[in-house]
Amino acid sequence: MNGKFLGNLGLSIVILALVAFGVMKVSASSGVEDLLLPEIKVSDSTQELLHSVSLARAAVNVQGLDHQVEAIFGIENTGEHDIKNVSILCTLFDSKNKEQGRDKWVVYDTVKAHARDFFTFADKRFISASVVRSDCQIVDLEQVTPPAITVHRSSAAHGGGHGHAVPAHESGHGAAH
Amino acid sequence: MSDEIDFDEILGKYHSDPYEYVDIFAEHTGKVRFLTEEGSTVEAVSGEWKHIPGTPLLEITRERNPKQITSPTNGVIASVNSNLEGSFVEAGEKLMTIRHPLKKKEIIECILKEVLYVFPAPERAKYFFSLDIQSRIDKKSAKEVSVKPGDDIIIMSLMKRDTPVYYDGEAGVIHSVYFKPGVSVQQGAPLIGVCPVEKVPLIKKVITRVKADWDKNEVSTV
Repeated sequence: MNGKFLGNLGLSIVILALVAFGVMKVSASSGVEDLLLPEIKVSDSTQELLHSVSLARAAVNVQGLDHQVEAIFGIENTGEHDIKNVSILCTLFDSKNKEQGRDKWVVYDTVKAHARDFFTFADKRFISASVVRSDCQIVDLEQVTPPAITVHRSSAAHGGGHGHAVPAHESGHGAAH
Repeated sequence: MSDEIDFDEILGKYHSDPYEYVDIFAEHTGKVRFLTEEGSTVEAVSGEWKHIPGTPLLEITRERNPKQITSPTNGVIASVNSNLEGSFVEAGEKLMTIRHPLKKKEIIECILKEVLYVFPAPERAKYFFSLDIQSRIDKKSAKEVSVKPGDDIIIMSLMKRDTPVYYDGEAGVIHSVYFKPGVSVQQGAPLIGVCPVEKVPLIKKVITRVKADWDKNEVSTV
């Protein structure tokens, strides 16, 4: 038994383990779609924010052969903080209720606290024209953080005063006041 | 905007305290080390291409990555939260305040922001005037271009998406433009100042009065 034999044995065990894992995965899945579209996971921090943020409306409309896709999303923020960069993942279905893939849209705009806003997207995406229904959910979002620098008139005032924010200046960036 | 503007009250306010206070907050978590002390003079970023950074204010270290924060404006350090020296702070913690002396032009701008209808930037984005408004500004001047609620006056360019921004303030003429096309504007910062047509002479009066009064005061203090 030399080193080469042991190396080959180790490699064989790793390959066998991988093959066994692959076979298990394939046998556990109900079809190809299940393998290609894994379960949607939402981070804990997003899950926490989702108690106060909901998708009030979601509609995806694929327009014929030119791959032009129109999507409308209504986001309702009942929380105390403004939110932005809301990622919406839509699972798309055809008329036979068969999954036709997933696509993601990101709303970079800010949705104010206690507000409901609608956002429309119209762009070219390679989505099957057979899509008739979509099932959308928010998978990620960010809370708007206050600016790093604020300007106000009164010396006693605090950061959230009536002043306007100016950009933060890290070394070598920004403009003169 | 009221017809009656109490010039004396507004000017008195600026004469008694001709400063703007700039609060510096921690932009992320980290260990803070102050590089200036209360009473020191600080300079803003300068140079033809803004290539000379402002006076270093503090250093914030996160995950062994030190980041130096420099002064966004010129002035004097009014207060430093020195009990945070060497300690770990959360994002948003107030660290220091800079007292920035206002110039005459800045005072006029501040007063105008109080008396004009200021339309703020809805997002941190780049802004442009819509084609229609831009052509009218090119032909005449911004001060002769009137806007009314519902007009799409500005285009917001955010993450490669251009969105029209609809004006929702008072009808009037664009008196002041606070943004440069294609330059990023902070959320909530003013984009334009609008003045109802009938109140334009009043605004001119404010500017003339401030200029005259400020010069007179400067001469008398000298």
